Amino acid sequence: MTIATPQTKTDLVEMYWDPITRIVGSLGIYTKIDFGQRKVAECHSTSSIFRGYSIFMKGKDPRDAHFITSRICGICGDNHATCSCYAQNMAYGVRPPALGEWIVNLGEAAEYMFDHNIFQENLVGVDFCEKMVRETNPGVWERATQTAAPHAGDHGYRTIGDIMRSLNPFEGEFYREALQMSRMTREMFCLMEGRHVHPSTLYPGGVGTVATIQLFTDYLSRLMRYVEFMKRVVPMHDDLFDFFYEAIPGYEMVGNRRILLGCWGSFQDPAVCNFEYKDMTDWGRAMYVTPGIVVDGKLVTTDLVKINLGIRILLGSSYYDDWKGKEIFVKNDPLGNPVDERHPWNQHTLPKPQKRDFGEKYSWVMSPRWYDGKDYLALDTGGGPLARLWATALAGIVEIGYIKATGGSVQINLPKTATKPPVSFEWKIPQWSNTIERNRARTYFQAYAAACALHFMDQALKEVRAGHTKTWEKFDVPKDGIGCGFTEAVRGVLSHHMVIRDGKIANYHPYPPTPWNANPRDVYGTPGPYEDAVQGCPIFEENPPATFKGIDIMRTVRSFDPCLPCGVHMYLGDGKVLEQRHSPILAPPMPPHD
Amino acid sequence: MAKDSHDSVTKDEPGNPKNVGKSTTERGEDVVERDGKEPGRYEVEEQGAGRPVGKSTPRDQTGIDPK
Repeated sequence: MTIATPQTKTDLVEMYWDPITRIVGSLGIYTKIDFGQRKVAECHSTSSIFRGYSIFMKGKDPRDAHFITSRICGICGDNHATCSCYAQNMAYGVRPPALGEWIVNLGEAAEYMFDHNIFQENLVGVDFCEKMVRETNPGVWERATQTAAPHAGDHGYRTIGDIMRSLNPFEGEFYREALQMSRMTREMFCLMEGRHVHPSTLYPGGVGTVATIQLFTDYLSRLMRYVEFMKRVVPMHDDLFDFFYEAIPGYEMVGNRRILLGCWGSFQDPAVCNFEYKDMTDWGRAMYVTPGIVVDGKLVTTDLVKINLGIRILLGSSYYDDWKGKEIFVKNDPLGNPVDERHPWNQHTLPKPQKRDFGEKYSWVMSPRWYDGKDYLALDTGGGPLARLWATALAGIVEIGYIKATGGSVQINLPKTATKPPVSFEWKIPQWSNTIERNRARTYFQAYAAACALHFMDQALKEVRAGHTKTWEKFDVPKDGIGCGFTEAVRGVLSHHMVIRDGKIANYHPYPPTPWNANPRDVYGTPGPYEDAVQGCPIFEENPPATFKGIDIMRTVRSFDPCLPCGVHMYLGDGKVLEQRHSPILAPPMPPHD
Repeated sequence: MAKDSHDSVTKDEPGNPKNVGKSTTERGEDVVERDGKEPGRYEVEEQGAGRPVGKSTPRDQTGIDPK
């Protein structure tokens, strides 16, 4: 919903979108737009729902951590389960058999293929479809209908207008095809981990999946259809996004912000990864998506230990009391490095609900930052793929045939499929960290995930053919211990930090990507990435204030792939659950349940 | 229910949830501890980064002991 309140003597108009639609969770974007200058003058990002996991994980059996934290999200729950298992593997000192690791990797690859596909084609795509472009930029739509698509031979759409028409919700040809692909990729996930999105065969120590040739063949047959699909999707999106740069000069400044990207790496290599903290630098760099922090286009580090120790959870505009002076759970990491009071291992969550005030406190999201020794950097994830591809490209480590990181690009080599010959794509480091490049990277990363899955399939089948059937290793839960897991949720960085005392969880903090992207101004006044990307954003929409849709702002926010369901669960004690239902047909609310 | 278990570790302090404790669901590691390894499965030399490797005999494919 958009509310416009013109302010006197200026062209400044207050507008807000709360909740943002076509995302999950409760996100509000509050802006002041200068229609005279055609740009956003000010932006605040707010989330009105409390996330309580760090509180109700306390005291629980550590072995339950992945089952519980999976429920943080209804779309990337398996990313949480995986990350939690990584943290538990470290805490318990257990190493899954290689075959188990390949199965986890295949599951996670399917998750990326599924989630990016449904978000890109069925949710983001609507922002670029015929109906939306006609309503917001009729001049651009006219031009699109007369602009030939450069890669029409690859994807089958003659003009850019045809691409936009195919993205129309519920009726567009490509929109409907993408829905089918989402179903198929979920089947792939279920083959590996039993159930999507809350895996039933994933545990610390490996998986309970029965690994047979038939299982992998079922996965591979679907994967090859997806690979073929990618051969059309990547050039189609390149055509669409390149057209926006061409049709709207200056569009590169929409959603543009300083290049401050974080990636925690994804897909473990069982030949290198032993889940021991002391070796985390080495096995982190062996991941098939390289962890890294990119500042102003330069790769600052690929060291997961350094990344871990630099994480700081700041307050400032969040509805919490400070935990300064409270108990420190972890003074030093296993290598002897000091761990900061504001690190997730030492965080205390002290909620303090209060009225929203944009001059003071206005969000339940805290402000994660990465401390480089001088500054508290407000890293974003670029919606996930932008940071992943950027860090992987610059690091130049990954080389598996299907993928090659060159130092300035990432080459993705897809084999022959049913009707198409082998195809190679190259994602090149872009000039900007902006709306269009976040969306473009998503498409390329779908192909990247499919290419990685081909490699994992080769490795898993080698194990099976060698007669290696073991997929899980037993373990003991220590009386006291710590663990941390790092991976990439679909939309970006994901870490789980756990402290075990007396065999129970003493402290547990999952940090998903959305807190990194959606956070409010921190204690130093630094705005969060959404705020930063929207503030100063030029307005190209042709509608006047009275019928303004804010499409450039919406495209920017959605380019980060916002997802805030991690806030919807609240524990009241005594087995009572507070439940509130929102009905789209205005039915009376259901009473609370006991 | 976990809340009735003697393993409940509820702390009467602010910021701590009530009725939590040791999981009451039996886990794979509990079963292995109690019943030992499943028949037809055996270990071979580790590979990679200390990753355990296991193979199986036809006995693993059936619940009936072929002997």
